[in-house]
Amino acid sequence: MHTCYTFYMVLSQRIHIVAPLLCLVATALFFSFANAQTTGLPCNTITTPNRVPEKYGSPIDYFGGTSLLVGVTCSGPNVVANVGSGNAIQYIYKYGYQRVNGAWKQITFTGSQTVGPWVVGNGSASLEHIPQGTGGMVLAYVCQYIQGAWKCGCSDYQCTTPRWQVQGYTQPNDASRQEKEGDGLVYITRASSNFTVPNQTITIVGHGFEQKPIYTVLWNEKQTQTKLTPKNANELVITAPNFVPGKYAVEVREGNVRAAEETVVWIHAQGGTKPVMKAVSPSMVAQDDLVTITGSGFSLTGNDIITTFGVIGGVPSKDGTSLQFKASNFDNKVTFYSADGKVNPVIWPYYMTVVNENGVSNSLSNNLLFK
Amino acid sequence: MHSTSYKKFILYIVVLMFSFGLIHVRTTSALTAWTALNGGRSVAIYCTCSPGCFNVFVGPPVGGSFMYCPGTTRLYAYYNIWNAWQLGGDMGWMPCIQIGFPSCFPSGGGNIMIINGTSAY
Repeated sequence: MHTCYTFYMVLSQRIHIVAPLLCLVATALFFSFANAQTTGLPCNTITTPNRVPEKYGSPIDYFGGTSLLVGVTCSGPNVVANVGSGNAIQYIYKYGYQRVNGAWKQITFTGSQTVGPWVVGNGSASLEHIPQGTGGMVLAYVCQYIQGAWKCGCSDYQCTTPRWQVQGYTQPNDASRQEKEGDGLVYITRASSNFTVPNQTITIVGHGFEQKPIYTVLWNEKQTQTKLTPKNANELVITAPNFVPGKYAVEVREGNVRAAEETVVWIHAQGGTKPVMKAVSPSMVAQDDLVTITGSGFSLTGNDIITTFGVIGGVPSKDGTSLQFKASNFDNKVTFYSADGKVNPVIWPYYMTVVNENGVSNSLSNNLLFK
Repeated sequence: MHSTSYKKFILYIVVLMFSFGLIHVRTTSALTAWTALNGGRSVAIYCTCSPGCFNVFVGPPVGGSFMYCPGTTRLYAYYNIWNAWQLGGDMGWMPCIQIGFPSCFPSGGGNIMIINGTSAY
């Protein structure tokens, strides 16, 4: 803009109106060119830490909120990997990799500023076309200068082990197939309820639904409905199949492309006796201590215990009246510290609810001690 | 500017309304500095140097980075901040502080969840 202003000052001595107009046109052309590499819709599939495959770094920027450091956009047959958010403290290694036909192939990121083998701020690279409906992967390596230290290839906030940062993507349908199968860009957020009975309708909430009869629903990989038309761009109404009561992964496909997420729905037995929680002991537990729930209606084969810190799945009951599980589902022991590095124990209310094929229980809580 | 007690009163009323299902989301227009979160697929990471707080990443449609903190966040059924859909309200930003050498350092953060109901999964 400063250049534009100078240009305007020089030319405006003679051409009062044309100069600013030229500037505007030039600015518009510049930005349209600069953005040419990043136009298109996001078609990346890894947006939360729990979806990062093992042994890879995360595409998430842990030092800049929830933004993605490694993303992929799709526009028709054009697929572009975009790395970095434009911050000058971000250095992107110029070489990355794309998985093509089962093998990793080197790609080169380009950007407006480079330092040695690094692209500063943000870089992009065109990816090879892969068959529609199949998943692709891309690897990049980003270093950020944080608090006086370089953080490279991070998997989490601690960033102790540098790794290739991975992003997945789904190749949408090309223009010739979009008319009958949609663009293949659909995201599932949640189900209107995680609990239902056979033949009851529930709504799958998400983004990118098209008003076409192109949606297929699968319960535990078994196709139950086809050619569904969504209610609107965010809601698809489906019907629970008359399957054996239990827990099901519900998947939606647009044409032949699988939605970026799936959701969990329990089909409950009609007229079943719901589980009931009567007591939880002990009232205070440390991480990995055993918690005992007493009550009735617990499944002998598998109950899900929904807790504040996630679902503990498939817990069997010996007698239908008690359940035992470990009061933590963290990968590692969680410890809190004070500013001077001393351990700072914290006590948290720890809610739990039991779900099985017969229904959903009441909720009870005890206290979980982090020490 | 509203006084602190007035803000507390408004917060109390909103919590009561939420409790009885009178409002669900979109309270933005009713309160200054109050926003709604209504997103899918949360992921929480503990902030080792913020006393008991977790940094919760919430997916779309109204997602972002939030803080779940003791004494401030009130949870509703199904009480699950881990990989579940989150629906509630948030107010004010705070950092997620992580243990480091020689002292703790801020690493991300988000608006503090005030009230929050969750899906089971």
